[in-house]
Amino acid sequence: MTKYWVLITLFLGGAMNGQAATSPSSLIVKVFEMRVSKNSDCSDAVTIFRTASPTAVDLAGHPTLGVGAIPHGTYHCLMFHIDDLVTLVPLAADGLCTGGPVTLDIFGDAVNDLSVSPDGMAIHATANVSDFPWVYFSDSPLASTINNCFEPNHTGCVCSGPCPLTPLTVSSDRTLSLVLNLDDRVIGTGGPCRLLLPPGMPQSALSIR
Amino acid sequence: MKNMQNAPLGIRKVLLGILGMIWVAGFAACDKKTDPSAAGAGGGAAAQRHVLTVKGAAQ
Repeated sequence: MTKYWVLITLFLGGAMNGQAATSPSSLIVKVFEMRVSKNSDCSDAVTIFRTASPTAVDLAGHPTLGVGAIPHGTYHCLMFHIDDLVTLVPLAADGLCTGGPVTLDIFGDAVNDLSVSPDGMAIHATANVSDFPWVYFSDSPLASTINNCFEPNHTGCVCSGPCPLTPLTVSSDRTLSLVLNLDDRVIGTGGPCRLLLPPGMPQSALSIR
Repeated sequence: MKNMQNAPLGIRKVLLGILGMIWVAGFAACDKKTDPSAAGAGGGAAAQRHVLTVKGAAQ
């Protein structure tokens, strides 16, 4: 009986090591632009802030990504233009994810990742290259926490589409947070240091709070 | 009006001109008061803007 428990323990240990992942202690991103729309399909958006040369900021420090004037009203879609290459420092070593900063791609799956600009231009993903996709959050029926947020519609992979948004009612000054949560998504075993993202890990890493 | 009828023609013309100018000025002043583009009129909540601050977070 004892040897069976040893075998089970070894098996579970091996399985757990195979699925081991780590989290970032710092996560540096760049955000170029934010637009808002009063429509759930994200049409007719207006720009809140925009910069051609955004400052790289560490999300661990809750930085300000941008500030702008927004007219009174209720908004059903928010969208951000971002650099898909993010630089992080693993909290703990995991396989080939060790030591210092590593630059990873959150929009690098050429098969499943597809984005579109608010003007309707398709943006295709190339691994480890800055593709500058847009990410969308809306109260559309297409929005889901398992989407990758890169489109306002559902034309790419089964994981494409906007991520959920509670309608934003603006009647006074407001503060929002754009969250990129890569906890337990940085994996370095069984291959190069990489990220676990939709559709492989069906839960969006992006959200609005 | 009876006095005007007795006044020489030239003076009548001058007086009528002055009366006309007063009438036009009064009409223009009244029109300006009802001009919807006058400062402070219309707009309201729709023209109000607020500050939106977007922060970043890792969790």
